[in-house]
Amino acid sequence: MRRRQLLATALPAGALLPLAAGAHSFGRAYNLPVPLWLYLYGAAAALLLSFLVVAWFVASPAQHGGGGGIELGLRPWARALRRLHLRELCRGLSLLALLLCIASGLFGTQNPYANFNMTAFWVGFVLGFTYLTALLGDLYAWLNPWKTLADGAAWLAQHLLPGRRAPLRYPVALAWWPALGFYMAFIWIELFGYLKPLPLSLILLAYTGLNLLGAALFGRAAWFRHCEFFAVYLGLVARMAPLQHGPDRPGLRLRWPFAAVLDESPPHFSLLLFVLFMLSSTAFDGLRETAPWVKLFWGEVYGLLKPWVGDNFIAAYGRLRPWFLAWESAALLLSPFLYLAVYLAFVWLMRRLTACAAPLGELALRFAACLLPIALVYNISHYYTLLVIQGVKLPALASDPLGRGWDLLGTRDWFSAAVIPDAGVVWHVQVGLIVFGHIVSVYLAHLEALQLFPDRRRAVLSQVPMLFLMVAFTTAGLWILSQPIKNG
Amino acid sequence: MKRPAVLLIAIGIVILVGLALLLRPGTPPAATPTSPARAITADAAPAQPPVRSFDIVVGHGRRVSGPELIQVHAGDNVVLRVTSDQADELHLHGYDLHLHLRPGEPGALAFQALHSGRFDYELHHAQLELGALEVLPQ
Repeated sequence: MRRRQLLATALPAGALLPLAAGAHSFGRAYNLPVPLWLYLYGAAAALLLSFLVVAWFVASPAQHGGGGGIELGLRPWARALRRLHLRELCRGLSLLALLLCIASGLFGTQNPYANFNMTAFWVGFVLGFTYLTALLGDLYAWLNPWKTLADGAAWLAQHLLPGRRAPLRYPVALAWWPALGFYMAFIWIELFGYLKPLPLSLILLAYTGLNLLGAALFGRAAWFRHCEFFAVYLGLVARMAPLQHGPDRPGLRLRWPFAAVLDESPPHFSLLLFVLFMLSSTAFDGLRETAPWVKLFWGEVYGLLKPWVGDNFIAAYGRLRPWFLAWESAALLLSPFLYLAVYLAFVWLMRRLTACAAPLGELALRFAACLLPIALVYNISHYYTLLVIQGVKLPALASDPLGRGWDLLGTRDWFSAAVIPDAGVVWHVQVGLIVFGHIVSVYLAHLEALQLFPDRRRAVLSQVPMLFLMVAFTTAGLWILSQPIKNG
Repeated sequence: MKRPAVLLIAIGIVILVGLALLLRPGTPPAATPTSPARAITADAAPAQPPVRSFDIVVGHGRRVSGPELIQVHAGDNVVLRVTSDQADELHLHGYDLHLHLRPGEPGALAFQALHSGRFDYELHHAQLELGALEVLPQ
C-alpha cells in the first residue's frame, strides 16, 4: 500500500518538474545524521577490533600473506568468453556511452534530472563504475573510452604519417601530479560547479581533447598511466577487487579481496597525495553539508569580519558569498595536505618507536596503499544512497536521453516511483561499512609491517601509531556522518 | 581454521554484540511484533498515529515564521500549512508532493510520513529553500 500511495503522488510530478535552478548540486541523498549512540558504537568497535587484529598478529605463528590466488584465465569458460569478443563489445559500448553523454547535453533538455548525461556520468560512471571496479577489477583499463579514441587517432596517424612517434618524452619529474591536478579540478567541479547538462558536455569534450592532445604529445602509454585521472583512480580502486587482470598482464586471477593492495606501494609522493585526496575529498563533501561547518564561516568568521562588512547580515551575506566559495575551495584543495601532515606525524612516530633506519618518505609510501580500504568504504557509505535513488533512473533516461518524451528502448517507465532507502538501514550500512574497511586497513598495515621489519616485536610495535592514525581517520569520518545537516 | 583465529573471531563477535547491547538506546517493549499485549490493544482500539501540524508563513521571498527543521517519526501524520504573500508552489522532495499556493491563502499539505530520511521542501517560484523535514525511523 505504501508503494502505491507513493507511486500515485510521484508519477505525475517526478519527471516533469525542473528543480530550482542552481540551488543545489546534482542528485540528493535523503540521509539523516547517524544517531549519537551508533556513532559511539562505530568508533568503539573500530578501536576494540583493531586491538584484536594486533592480538591476532601477536598470537599467530606464521606470516599470513594474501597468496597468489587461483589462475582462471586458462579455464575453458574463460577461453569461451574471450572468443565472444566481449572486450571489443564493451569498448564499443563505453565509447558509445561517452558520445551519448556529450550529445545529450548538447542537444537535449537542460533539466538535469531529465537529461541522460547527468545521471549517467555523475551517478552511473563516477559512483557505480567505481564500485563495480572494486568488485570486478580494472575493467576501465580495457574500456577507457578516451584510450579507445586515442588508439583510433594513433592508428589514423600511423596511416597518414608512417613512422611518426610522440614528439615529447614524458618528464619523469611530473610523476602523477597531472592526475592529481585533474582529480582536484574534477572534485571542485562536482562540488561547486552546479553543472547543467550542457556545461557537463562541454567539459567532457574539453577533457576528450586534452586526452587526445596529451596522448599525441607524450605517447599513449605514459599519458594514460600518469595523467588520465580516472585511469589512475580506478586502477587504485581495482587493487581491492578479488579479480585481478589487465591489458599489460596476462590471465585472470582470483584472489582474496584486498590482497592485491600490497602488491606494490605507491612509487611516488604524488600518488600518496592522490590516495589521501580520495579520503579527504569525500570527508570534505560530508563536512560541508553539516551545520557546524556552515556555522564556522557564517558565525565565527563573519563575527570577526563584522567591523568591515557591517552588522546587517543580509547585506554582508551577498558580499561574503564569493569569499565563502574561496574559503570552501581552499579547504577542499588543502584537505589532502592536512591529511598528509597527520599521516606523516604518525609515520614519524612509528619510525622513532622502532628505531627504523629507512627514511621517513620511504616509510610513508610503504604504508600509503593500506589506506585504500578506508577511502573506499568511506566513499560507498557517503554516496551509495545516491546510487540507489538516482541510479535506478538510468534505464528510463537511456530510453529518452534528450528528455523529449521518446521511448527508444521501451524502458521509459522503469522505476518511475521514487526509491527512498530506510534511514535506519542506511545508518547501519554506513557504520558497518566504515568499521569493516577500518579493520581491513589495520590488517593490511600489519602485513606490510611484517614484510618491512624482520623481527616481530618491532613489527607489532610499529603498528601502534598506525592503528591510532586509522582510528583517527575512521572516527573523523563517523563524526561527520553524525553531525546535523545544514538547512537549504 | 587454526584455534587462535576461531578464538579471536569469537571475541570480535562478543565485542560487537556487547557494544550494541551497551550503547543501544532502550526500545519500548511494545515494538516487538510478536508481543501479544500489542495485538490485544491494537484490536481494542486501533492506535491512531499522532497528527503533527506545522505553520509556515512566507513574505517578501523570506520565511517570516515557522520552523526551519521539522522533525517527526515515521508513521506520523504530518500537516504542513504554508501561507505565502505571492502565488507559489510548495515542493517536498523525496515524497515529491506539490501544493499550489494562492497569495495570502494558507495551503495545507497533509500526508503520512511513511519513509524515514531527510527531505528538503522549497517554494519553486521564489526559489526559496524553506527547510527540511526529518523523518526519524521508528
